[in-house]
Amino acid sequence: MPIIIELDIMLARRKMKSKDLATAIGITEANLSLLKQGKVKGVRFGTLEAICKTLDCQPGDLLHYVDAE
Amino acid sequence: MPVVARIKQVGAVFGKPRGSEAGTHPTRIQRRARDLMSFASVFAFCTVAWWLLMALLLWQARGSGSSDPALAQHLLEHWHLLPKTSYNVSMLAFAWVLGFAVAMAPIICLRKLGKSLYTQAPLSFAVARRFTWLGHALVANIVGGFTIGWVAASQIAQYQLSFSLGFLGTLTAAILAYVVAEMVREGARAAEENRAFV
Repeated sequence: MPIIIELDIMLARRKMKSKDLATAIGITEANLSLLKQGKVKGVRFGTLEAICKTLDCQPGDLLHYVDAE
Repeated sequence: MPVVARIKQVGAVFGKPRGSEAGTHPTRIQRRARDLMSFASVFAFCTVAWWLLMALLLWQARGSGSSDPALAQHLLEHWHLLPKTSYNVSMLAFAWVLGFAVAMAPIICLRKLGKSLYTQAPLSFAVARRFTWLGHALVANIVGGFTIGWVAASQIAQYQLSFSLGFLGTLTAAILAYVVAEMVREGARAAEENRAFV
């Protein structure tokens, strides 16, 4: 997928567990796992806002575009 | 299959379906689904009782039973269903089996639809399939009805084959079932798409 999600890296930087992040932003651990793996079709702005607020980062820190070619 | 396991399987069909866990209130759709299942069960019982009664009366009218056939013949004559003196048993038996099958098909489909609505998400492909099958059963009911009418007219003197517009109601219901099936299918696709967003 051209959009790479670097949530794992940000979690490691902030020394936060996935479980704690999932609880903080109000989504299930299963959905957060799918998000980390890039197996979701999209992210709601509300979820993105909650992640950025919790991890104190910008959307650009989490999402990167890589040309598929 | 062992007897106990079979009894449990049959009990599961008529008992409380999955999804109704203790402590959780059923949703409005689940309540309507439960009503649908109850209605279908009562309707099925009445339909089975009626068709068994018809089979019994036709059998007794032939003089096959131990009791006097006069009562059975009187009842059948009263309902304009007394067969001719030289009627074809196979044709009448075929009509009975076909009539029973096409009468029960929509009822069974209705009950299965209620069970799907109760145990699964309303906007799901399984529910859409149940609506499609209900449409098929209603169409079969119309076609079977005409076939039985044709057979009955040939075997029962009092039965007059006539064309009425009563089947239009069933046809409308069948078309509506197909339309709702497509709507539910679209809804299921949208719900699936929505689930893919976090």
